[in-house]
Amino acid sequence: MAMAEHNDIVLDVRGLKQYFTSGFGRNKVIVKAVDGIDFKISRGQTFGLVGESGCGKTTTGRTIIRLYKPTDGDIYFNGELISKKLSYEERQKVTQGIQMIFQDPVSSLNPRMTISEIVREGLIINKLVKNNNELSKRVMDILRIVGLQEDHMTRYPHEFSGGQRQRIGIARALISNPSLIIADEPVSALDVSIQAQVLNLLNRLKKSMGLTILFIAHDLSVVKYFSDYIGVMYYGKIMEMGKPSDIYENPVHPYTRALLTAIPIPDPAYQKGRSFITYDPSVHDYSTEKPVMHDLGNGHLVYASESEIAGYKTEGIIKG
Amino acid sequence: MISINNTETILEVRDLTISFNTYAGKVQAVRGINFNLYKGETLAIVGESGSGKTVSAKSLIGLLAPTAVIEKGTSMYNGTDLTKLTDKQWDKYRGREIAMVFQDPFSSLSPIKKIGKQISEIFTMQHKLPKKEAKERSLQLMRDVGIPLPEKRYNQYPFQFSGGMRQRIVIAIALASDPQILICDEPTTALDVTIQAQVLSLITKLQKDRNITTIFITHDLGVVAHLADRIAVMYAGKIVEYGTAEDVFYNPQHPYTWSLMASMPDMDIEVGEELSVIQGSPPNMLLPPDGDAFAERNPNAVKLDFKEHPPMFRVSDTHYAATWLLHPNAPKVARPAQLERRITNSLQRQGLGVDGNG
Repeated sequence: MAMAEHNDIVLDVRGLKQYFTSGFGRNKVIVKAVDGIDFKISRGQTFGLVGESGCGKTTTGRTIIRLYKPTDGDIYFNGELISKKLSYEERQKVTQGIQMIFQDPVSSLNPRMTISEIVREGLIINKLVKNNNELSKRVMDILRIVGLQEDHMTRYPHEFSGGQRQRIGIARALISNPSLIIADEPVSALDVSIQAQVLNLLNRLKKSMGLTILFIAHDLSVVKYFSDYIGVMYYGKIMEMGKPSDIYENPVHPYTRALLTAIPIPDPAYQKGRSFITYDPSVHDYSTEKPVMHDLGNGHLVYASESEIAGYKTEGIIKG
Repeated sequence: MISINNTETILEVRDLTISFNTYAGKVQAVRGINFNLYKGETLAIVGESGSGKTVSAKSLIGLLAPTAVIEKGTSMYNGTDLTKLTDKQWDKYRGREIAMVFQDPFSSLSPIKKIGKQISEIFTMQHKLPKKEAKERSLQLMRDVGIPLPEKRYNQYPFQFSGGMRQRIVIAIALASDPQILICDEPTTALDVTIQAQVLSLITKLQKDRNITTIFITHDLGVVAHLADRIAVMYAGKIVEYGTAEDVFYNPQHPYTWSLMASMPDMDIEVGEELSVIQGSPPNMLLPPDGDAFAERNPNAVKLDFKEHPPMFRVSDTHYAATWLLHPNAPKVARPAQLERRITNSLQRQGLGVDGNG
């Protein structure tokens, strides 16, 4: 597997915050969906963002593609700041360069458009083709790449199974040659056997086309198989970041460890004797010491205070 | 590990066949399944969507759609054939003797009734208890399923509950009239992994405390490993393999079970490795194939697979599989490498080593 160069950074998120407000006056509530997160994705790499529902992982993806206006923080895409107010041309560059694959393959495809219409829309809007011949050739090529046939072009979404629909979603995302793909739980609505097909397809495309992917998931087992780098998110903050080997073999943060024990393993003898760890955020006492991201070396980062790091070291959770 | 010493049969399903009449023709959803349910055990029914697992379960609680027809077969519960009950007779069984927990906790509760009312109405209507006692019993039930501050939660509406909490409420409602059999239809599929872990622990605990027999329907083999005593694997409306959890996980025989288990990503897999997939898609149940329904997707299928459906071959006293591979004259076919490696790893974790086919 090719290790990407670290100086070629596609996406650089710095101190990103996304708050939502609800109600007025005394009843005003601020929800800190994303509360200051930093990460980078290099070209050709996959960054897995994992967390429970409500932790802000989907909001992160949507803020990056500018479906929301970020409250604070900077997003750099291919070296350009995209979190400021964008002109029409700049906005088009962003929407062409970043594409999204959605979770639900049923509601993310327009039921009144044929597959060819759905897939080619990106090419037409971004004016990437000169004439109709080129247009239909590009559409055919991309459908073949994702494992669909030519005669599927004139059919409608309801004629396809869940796995095939997700392939259509992937084709639509890939056709405008984006530099970044945001995949928001692309397989969690699919059956296990179909899940494997779609994951294999994404993995093959990633290798052959050198795709850069932000992979959002709630399931650590899917992410391990897929990512070069993983961030674990909890209530708007990234708790731990590192290579899959760091996260799975030497997890440091208690939340990461709780998430890992919650994955059911298909092995009855092992699974039945297993006890789940529940994460209790009140174990952290941040009243005097403010927690920061600590680098444990080799890009393994953990969100903790100084004394907690010292504690993890004496407990032997941090090796060396 | 739980071993079943008690082999008192509580439910006996024989040759159950269910089809749906649609404008396109007759969809043969369930094509003659047989199983016994022993008192106190957890039977997991595993299969892809469309394999007929939910339809079979719904027939056991009398909730089949009006277009469904039970063609033949019996399901005997305490001397009563459940397939022959009329709507009025069902009232005595549904919810009282046999209860069900549905997949989606967002649509299985009424959005316009308070949570407390939804639980307590079972006590007031089914058991004719006075209101005050019904409330007491409901609060106790809410405590049992792990709802914090039940007195406050009693007067709230479902939208004020999270997915995991709603599923706990649904479980509480199912348990309210002390059923003999609890059917759980993918109760954790809509939930997060951490919440799933909590709900599964809750179900196992309640089941042990109350000695309830459970049928657990899922497609997640990790969940199955957590709580199943016995497993039935369904494909295209038939049970293709059944046995104890250990039989099916450590010594699977049917090629479909192999593929299903191999296609699941687990923690042993290396980064960037190809997952093994099941090629093709399930057969059209309007015209199910004559032979083994899985043959078309099975790279090792023999000619006979396409012609004749294999009978259940005995592997051991507890373990049966419907595949021609178990016929004495069948060619030897190796299990997929990924699955073989996983089984070896599992057995090593237990310190048992590999013992081949035994």
